[in-house]
Amino acid sequence: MSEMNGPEFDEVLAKAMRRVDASEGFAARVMGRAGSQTPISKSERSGAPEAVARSKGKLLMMPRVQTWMGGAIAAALVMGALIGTRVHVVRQQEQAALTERQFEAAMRLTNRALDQTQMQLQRAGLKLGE
Amino acid sequence: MGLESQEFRGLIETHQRMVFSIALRVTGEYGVAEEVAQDVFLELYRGGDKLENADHTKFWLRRVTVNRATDALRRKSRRPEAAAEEWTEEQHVADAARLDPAVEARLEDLLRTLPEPMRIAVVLRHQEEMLPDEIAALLGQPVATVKSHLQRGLQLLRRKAAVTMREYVR
Repeated sequence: MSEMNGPEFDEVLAKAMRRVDASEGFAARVMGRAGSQTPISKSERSGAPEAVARSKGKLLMMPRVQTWMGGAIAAALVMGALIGTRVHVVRQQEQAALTERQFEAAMRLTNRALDQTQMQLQRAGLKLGE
Repeated sequence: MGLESQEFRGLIETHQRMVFSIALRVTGEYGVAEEVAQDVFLELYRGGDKLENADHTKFWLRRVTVNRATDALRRKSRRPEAAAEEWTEEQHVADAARLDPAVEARLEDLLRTLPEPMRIAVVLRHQEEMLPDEIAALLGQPVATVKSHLQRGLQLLRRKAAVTMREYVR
């Protein structure tokens, strides 16, 4: 194989890549599955008269349903917006409280460190601000 | 209605080897290939009456098979080498003009290691005997891209074969 030139390799490859059969009963299995499905008719795909007539039947019912649905969707959107705003405000408050707590903790640590430094300086005979 | 039952059965019998073989070599798994091939024919059943003639049907089947097989491969997101034994044991190839089965199996293994675009191009060129411009039309790619995939795919296969198939050199 290592000595195989281009055309020879192509020939071997072509032989290796002949088509193979699916397992026995493939057609029957596909037919079985197809039997449980309804094909899409040409008229449905193309919007031919019968499909349009069916659509029109649905359209006659649309106005009442549309009004009700429109109201429901609008109400849902308003509720969603209100809830979203409330959640945002609560999160901001939580974040502010957390930041405040962190700031207080940092201040306590800084004050303690400064106190300790001051005490050490006093022990060494020095006074801050002189 | 879509296709009539008799007409549909005729199309399955005519094209099942082509569809199944493309699916098998692209996905690398026997079970997945069967599933893909069945889905392709069901899609044909649902909308086959829009196909104008035999050439159109063949073109459509090849394109849908490649797309479905690629989708299946990505869904599984696993390397197809996993089912190498399954494939070589279950394939039903006519005995006439067969290669040494070991060489054949090894080449199939090597094919499965090719990157997806190269593998598809090589399968369509060497299994389906399609020309680069036909492959380009089928895949919706520029001819130059297809030629590049073919060239690089074959180069990789040759290189891998030279390294891993020394035992078959006479």
